Amino acid sequence: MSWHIVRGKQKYIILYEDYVDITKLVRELCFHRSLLSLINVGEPDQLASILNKELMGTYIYLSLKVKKTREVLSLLYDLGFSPLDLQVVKEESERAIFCAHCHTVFITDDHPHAVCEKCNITLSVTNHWSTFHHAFLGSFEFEGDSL
Amino acid sequence: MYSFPFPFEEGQSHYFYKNNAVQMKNRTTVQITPNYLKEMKLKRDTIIKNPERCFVALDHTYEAQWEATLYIAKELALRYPDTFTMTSRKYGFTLNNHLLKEEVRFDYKVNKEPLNDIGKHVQEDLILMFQREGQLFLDAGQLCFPSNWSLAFNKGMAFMDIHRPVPGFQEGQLDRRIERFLLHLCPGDPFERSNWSLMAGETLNTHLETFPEWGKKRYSVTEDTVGNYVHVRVEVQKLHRLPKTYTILFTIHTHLLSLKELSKDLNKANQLYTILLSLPKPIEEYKGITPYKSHVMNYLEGVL
Amino acid sequence: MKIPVSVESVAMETNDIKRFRIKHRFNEPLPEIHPGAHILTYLPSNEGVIIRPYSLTNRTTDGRYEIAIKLVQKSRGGSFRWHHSVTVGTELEISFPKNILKPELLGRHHVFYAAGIGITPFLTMLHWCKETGRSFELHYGASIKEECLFYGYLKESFKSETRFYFSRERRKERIDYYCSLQRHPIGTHVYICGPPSFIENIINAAKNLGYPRERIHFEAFRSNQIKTKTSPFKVKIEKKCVPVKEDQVLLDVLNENGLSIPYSCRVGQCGTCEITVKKGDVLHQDSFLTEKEKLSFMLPCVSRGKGLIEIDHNSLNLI
Ligand code: HEM
Ligand code: FES
Repeated sequence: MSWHIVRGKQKYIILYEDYVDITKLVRELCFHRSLLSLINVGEPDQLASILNKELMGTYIYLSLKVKKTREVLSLLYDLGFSPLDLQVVKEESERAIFCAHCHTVFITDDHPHAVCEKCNITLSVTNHWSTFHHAFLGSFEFEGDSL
Repeated sequence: MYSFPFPFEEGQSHYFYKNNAVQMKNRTTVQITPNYLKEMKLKRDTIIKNPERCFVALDHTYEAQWEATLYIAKELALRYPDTFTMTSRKYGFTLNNHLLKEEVRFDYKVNKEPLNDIGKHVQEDLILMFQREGQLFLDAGQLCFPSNWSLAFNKGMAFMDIHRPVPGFQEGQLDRRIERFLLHLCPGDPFERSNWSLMAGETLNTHLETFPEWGKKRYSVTEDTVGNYVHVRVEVQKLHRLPKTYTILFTIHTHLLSLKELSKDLNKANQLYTILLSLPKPIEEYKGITPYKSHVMNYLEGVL
Repeated sequence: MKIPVSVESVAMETNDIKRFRIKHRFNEPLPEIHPGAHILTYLPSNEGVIIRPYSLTNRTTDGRYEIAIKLVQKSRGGSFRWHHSVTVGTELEISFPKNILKPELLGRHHVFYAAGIGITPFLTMLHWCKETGRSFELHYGASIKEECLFYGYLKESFKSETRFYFSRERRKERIDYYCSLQRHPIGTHVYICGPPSFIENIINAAKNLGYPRERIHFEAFRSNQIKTKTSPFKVKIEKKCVPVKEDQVLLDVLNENGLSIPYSCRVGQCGTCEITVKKGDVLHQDSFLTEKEKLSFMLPCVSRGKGLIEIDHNSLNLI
């Protein structure tokens, strides 16, 4: 897991779910004498009504599994938050891949190749990242290219 | 008169990256060429077959789409009066396309995807870039003739992120500087640039989605076919800041010319040859030239 | 590209502020505008063309532009000319509308802080917010009601969104930036326009509260641009050495000498006129370049040299 500390905020919120270890992040954030609030992401509806009341100067860390991250992000963006208000704690063990052929986004483990859930094509995972889709581009393997 | 837009500057003898955008003198967004009918058919067929590859628009883009649509339609009627006529109404207009023998109504908020609709009358791909929180985002666009990229993937992405795969683009903060240039683009002061590559075959609709189909042609080039089969692919790109929504309208007109045709002008063949010689390997690979480059070089040597 | 226009009407807004309505000389509608946009006006005079940026306060439905100009006491150029020699029928040229203070399309809430004539660029933005159903508020400081530009209009059109602060009325009030900034919901964009100290104070307060830089938009006060004291210097282009008098702008001098440096804001805010400096000390006056960039670039619309500076004319076409 990796993150960077954004300084100078009035308040930090960590959104987490069970099975994700946030102790290190919490310890680091405690150093800054700002408010820190931990929210276990249960029902997204409830989450919306809580976060809606937050003020400027608040900064959100999302420490969630990839699937939940994508859900919560789209909720936050719908509320009018932008990437400036938040940070996704990187989880190296899983990745979301955008299939270049059929546009399906699916989640796999960290491996240079992936098979698309929907169209079954083998994709090579690139480091071309979309903040919008919150996924890496999975592009075509082409035998000839490695010649 | 149509002439192929040769992409290199006079005297340019090696490849280098810079912001090659220049102020546009005639302030146009689109151009009608002799291939109009053929390309309109290909464009429309491509859209019908795979709409999700050819058009994207986020919710907040409607006003800008409408502004771009009006902007382009007005230009068509003004510059090609024999081909297009436009009749304005309070909340829209009717476009008569005499080449396609069509009369099309455009009504504000009735046309749900105005950019997609006007795009069916021009050969250009039409991209709209939106300025948000200090960056430019591709939030709407019609793309039928891309060189190997996916509009669906690039949807909602920032200029800098879009260009991440281009080798060397981050060097010397070139990407930042180009972004800054774009952020300062002003209404009434459009710019244009061109981008070039080589391709095996004569396919305009080379979407990333279909790479396995057209990409394999790179391996079928031979000594005998190279002249007719390999094409210089030039994208003429125009950048306009629309005054009302302050969106950037980015139009891409793709032109193809076979090596054989190009080589009729020995100066041009020579310049292409020298530039290919100096092309850095990563860029050559990025452009997809590597598999057949030796054939191209041999061919040009033969010509020269 | 310049647009030929003429003055259609002139009205006194307050004691020292005049409002001008401008129309296309051939009666075509002027281009539509983006909320917050300004134009450059090119006003002919005996001493040459006077170029000044002014915010558009309105574009009428029949395609006219309106601007409001405050007479600056010390002014010898821009506002003086506008107040004393421009009448109905005066012909001039204007630029296409340009914008620095762009409203944020997806902003969740928009807050405007204006002082005095700083209200002008906000009028079209407030209108846009209202018309498109966006959430917004205006905090507007002036000395007294009579000096408060567009008081009646704002009170009528944006009653529930506007709060006035009068520093010299019987009930003295000033904007408490800190307190106000603290209350905005996450995702808010703030826009500031007024004198430099006003802008600076609000920016500092916002930064202290943890506002991201990209959420703070500001525009320098336009009508009071003449720097208190400027000195002459020389500029070397290729082999030529050209003097810049104390009342000349480097950008204009360079362009008069055959360079065609593009420009937009003319207040050191957009970066369009950036040039590369080869030698010499530069007095930077802009709010655009980073400290690092200032080592090799300058913005000649506002910044000047000390003694002799040399610029790199080859870098001009490369951006
Ligand atoms: C503002 C609108 C623009 C958009 C939407 C855009 C989009 C793109 C896209 C999608 C690619 C392909 C990336 C990939 O391989 O996935 C690309 C390539 C590239 N772009 Fe842009 N671009 C824009 C403006 C510019 C400008 C202003 C410049 C330079 C001044 C530029 C320079 C390049 C270059 C050098 C490449 C590599 C092309 C090659 O070598 O074949 N782009 N652009
Ligand atoms: S013209 Fe805008 S910075 Fe000089």
